[in-house]
Amino acid sequence: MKHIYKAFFQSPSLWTCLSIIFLFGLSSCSSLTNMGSLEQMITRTEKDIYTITKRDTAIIDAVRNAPGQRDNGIVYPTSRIVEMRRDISQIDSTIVREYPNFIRLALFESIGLLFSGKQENGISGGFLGLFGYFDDDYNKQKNMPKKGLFPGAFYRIGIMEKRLRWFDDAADWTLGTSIYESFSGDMDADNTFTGVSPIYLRKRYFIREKIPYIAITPSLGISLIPDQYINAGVSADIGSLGGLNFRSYLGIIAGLGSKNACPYFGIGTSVLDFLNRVPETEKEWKYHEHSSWSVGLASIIGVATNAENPFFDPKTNSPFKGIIGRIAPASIAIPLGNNRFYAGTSLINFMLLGQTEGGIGILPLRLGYWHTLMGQELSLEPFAEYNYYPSSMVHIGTRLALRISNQINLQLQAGYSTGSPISTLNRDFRNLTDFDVFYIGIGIGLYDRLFQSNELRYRKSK
Amino acid sequence: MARYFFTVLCTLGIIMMILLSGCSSLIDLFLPPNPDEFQWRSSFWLRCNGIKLSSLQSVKLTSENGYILEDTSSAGFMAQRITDYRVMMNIKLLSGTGIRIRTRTTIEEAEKKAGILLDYTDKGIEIKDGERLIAKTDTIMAIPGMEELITIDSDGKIMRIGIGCAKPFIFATSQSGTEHILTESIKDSRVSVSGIEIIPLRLARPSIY
Repeated sequence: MKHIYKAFFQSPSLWTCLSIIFLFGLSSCSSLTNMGSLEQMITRTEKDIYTITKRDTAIIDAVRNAPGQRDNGIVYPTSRIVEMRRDISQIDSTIVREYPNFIRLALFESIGLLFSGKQENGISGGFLGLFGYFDDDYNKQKNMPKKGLFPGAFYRIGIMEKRLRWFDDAADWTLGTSIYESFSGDMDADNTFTGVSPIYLRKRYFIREKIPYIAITPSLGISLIPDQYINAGVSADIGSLGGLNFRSYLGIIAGLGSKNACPYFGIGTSVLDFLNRVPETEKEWKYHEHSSWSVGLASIIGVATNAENPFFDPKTNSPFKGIIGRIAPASIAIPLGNNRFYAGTSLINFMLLGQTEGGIGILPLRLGYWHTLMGQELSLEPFAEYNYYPSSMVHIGTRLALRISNQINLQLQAGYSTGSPISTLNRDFRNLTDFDVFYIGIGIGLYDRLFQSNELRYRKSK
Repeated sequence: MARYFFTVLCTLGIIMMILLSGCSSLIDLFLPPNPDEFQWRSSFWLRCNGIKLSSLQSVKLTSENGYILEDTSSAGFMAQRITDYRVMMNIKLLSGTGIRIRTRTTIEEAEKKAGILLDYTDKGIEIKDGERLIAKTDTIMAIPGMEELITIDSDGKIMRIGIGCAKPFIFATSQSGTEHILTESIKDSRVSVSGIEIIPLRLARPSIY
């Protein structure tokens, strides 16, 4: 009986079932009560209510004497009428203050892992877990000779951390989660862990308390669904600057069931990853200072090029031969001169300009100048970009951006790009070869926020 | 193809937003209550919120609607959307000089907008409407160890402040009504504030909701 009881409680399926029920219940409660909406997650709102009371007294004094003679020798009632009107009005008004409601909010984090598994079984994610992603070697079958030093990769999507106020408000503790995380020590299933909404406890020790922050962060995490594991580690973090962060990790991940325990060392980066210190969560959003001219989720431009055939459907004769897609672009202001020069990058830069013309860049380097043309709404941005891996490309151009809202902007871009692949790309992009292309295109920036000069933390730009 | 790519991206974005909001609920579920905040139900099932405005150790909660201000500390309380109210509290000076009570201001504005001040000290009392002195007397004073009921009516332009059985001070003010009542101990005093009761006189209904 004792064995049955023990086996039952150690069964992974039991914990999985419980976790699914728990998450389902949680999301139902969340939907029903409107708790934890995205807006509430990002912003904490404080309201102060005022009532202004106005009291007004009007006295109307009227004397209407009848025309003609009047005998004043006897007592006579006066014709004076005094009317007194008292009014009271109360006006309510509200002052709303909005503050950040998170310590960390991030879209995507990628870590390249060293010593996490066997090289021949490696998934070949490459440096930062990203640079090998478009290579032919990525996720290839086991027991094959592989290039590269990084056998494993660790990915996280949708990360958030909130302030944990315990131990008499001890500083910089957080409790956080992510929508999804995937740890692959190598391709062996026993070295692979997947978590949905794992819970992480973190404590940050700040070495540098100014932007960009430098911190040492020990962490302990637990996941119940779909894999049950504990992840303990420490990271050295630099960031955030324009949503970009770099981290090195040292840790161990251990399965609670049959999986292995994998020690790992990793170097990673994250994009659209914003970190607040506790004092910043007490500072209104409108007073927050920013480091970048633009930060966004994606920028997609359909382009007309001098390539022979379109990338997506070579049989058509559309003038739009391809797209330029930048995932998580950021343009970080360089505090020199008028602060309008910027250094930019993006997580992935797709330059798909024709059937065989184009390439892919991971964390390319872009230098440009941000020129505001009209009332902070219209900006012109000449730039030069170097993509070094997996395609080597030089890209120069100019972009005209019209801000429609904080979430969307309209873009017109023209430029020239030349390059060639320097690694063997996977089958989706294998047809891309050397190219030399001029283009002009129109597109949109999604959740691509263009900042104004007075929002920059340097505050000196005109 | 571009349309397909765009649709996939938008769908992923929406899914991510839903999942992120779920994650937020998940984390909120595990987070302990804020240690600087407290809540209680006053009369009429009115939910009242209190907040410690100085270090956690300097304001010691003695009951759900009472606390002791240690050293030079402060705490505030309010009932949301109630700007016209009667507030009653028992004040006991335990040691030191006394307590300052402020209304018609907010936590955020307290430094620049004094509001209406009542200094209840062992030397006497002083009531000020901003810079204007309303009353100053040494015939009513805080006696260490003796609990006294303080009643403040904030009713439109009319303020009525009563201390124990003494004749209340009634005056008109032009300051706008607010939800907050702030208490501060003066010069390292130790003061007990207990039995806080807020009776609503009017519910503010701002049009900006």
